Amino acid sequence: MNVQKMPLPDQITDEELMAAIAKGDRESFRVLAERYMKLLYSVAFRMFPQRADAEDVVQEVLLRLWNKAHLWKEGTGATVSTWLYRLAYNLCIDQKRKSRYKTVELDEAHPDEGKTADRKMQDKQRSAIVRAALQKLPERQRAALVLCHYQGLSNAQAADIMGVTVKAIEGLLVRARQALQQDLKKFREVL
Amino acid sequence: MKIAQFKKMLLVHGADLSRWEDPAAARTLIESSVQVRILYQEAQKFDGVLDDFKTDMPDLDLMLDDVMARITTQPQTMYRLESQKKRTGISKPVFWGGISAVAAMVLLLMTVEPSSFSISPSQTTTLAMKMNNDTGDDNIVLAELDRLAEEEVAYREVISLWEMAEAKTQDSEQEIEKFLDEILSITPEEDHVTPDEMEIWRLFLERQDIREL
Repeated sequence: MNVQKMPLPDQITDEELMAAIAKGDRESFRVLAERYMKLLYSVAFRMFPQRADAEDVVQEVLLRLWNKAHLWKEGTGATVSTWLYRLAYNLCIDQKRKSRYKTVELDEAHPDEGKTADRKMQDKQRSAIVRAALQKLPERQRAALVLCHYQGLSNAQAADIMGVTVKAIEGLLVRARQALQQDLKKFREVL
Repeated sequence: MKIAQFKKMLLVHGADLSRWEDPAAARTLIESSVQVRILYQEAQKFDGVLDDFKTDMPDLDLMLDDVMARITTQPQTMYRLESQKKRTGISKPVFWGGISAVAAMVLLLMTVEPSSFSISPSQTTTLAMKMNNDTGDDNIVLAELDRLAEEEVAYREVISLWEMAEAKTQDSEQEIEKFLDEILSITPEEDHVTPDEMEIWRLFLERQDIREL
């Protein structure tokens, strides 16, 4: 009997999944969503003061992935990951404008059972300080830092996602780091 | 590599030398200068501080289940149709026809302004035809515009952007052409539209006096 072996989800490329999603294949959608959700959430979480906004952005990116997969074309230059990052970035900018007057959440829980209460408190405080400083940056500077430093993308990839030149990304990174260094100076003892 | 260049690279790439264009030169400089070594250690410490900001992950499985439920109850094509209906309320030809008319008006306005350029009626017609012939998915752009139209804050930004663009366009004929090219170059596939292009769209459509014409 000739049994055709189904490829494991890890063996299917992003491009193959996109083609299947464009035809309405929900299982392919689930596989691709699982592959990128964590990365997309990391970007959105660092762009927003509110967790709920970050969650909204990820959900919206996924819904657009489902409905607009047919618009992504292989060979047009953008990889699937760049396309998704770009969607997330554009949505973050839009969402950010809607919620610009919201305050930064400083008291979120970071569940980590292995640490002492003091240590957990210190970690939480440090995270909140950096997060608040990051939120003060202009959105393009913040996005450049999130994509390059936190997501580890190259400057060229970040430039592609944000629709600017590599030179512009470098300028944004320089200004972002300078502003953060200045802002975080007063917390030197805590950090 | 000089120290000034090293300092700049620290601000661009941080202390992760694998991101640098010439990590070997950077390492040589670090080994040869105490001052550079101190700068590098400070940059490493700063990167560590940035890394203190950890992502607080929600339950992603739960989130995905929610999305799966939504796409199951609203199949792909149905969802697309419904979103089109909800977002626009006007048909594609009507929309692009309207845009063409607005674009033509903009050009006509420019020709009567006391500036150093003029655009012939044939160019206006070409512009209108070019816009009418755009065959992409304009609903995506429409969706964005619908959303943006609801934002008062964005509106103020658009006005200031418009003023900036307007000031820019008074510089020269080439600037005008560039500005119009930018408007025309926006494909209706939102996913390929840069935020800057979207800004131009916004200021283009939010300009009250043009809309009233």
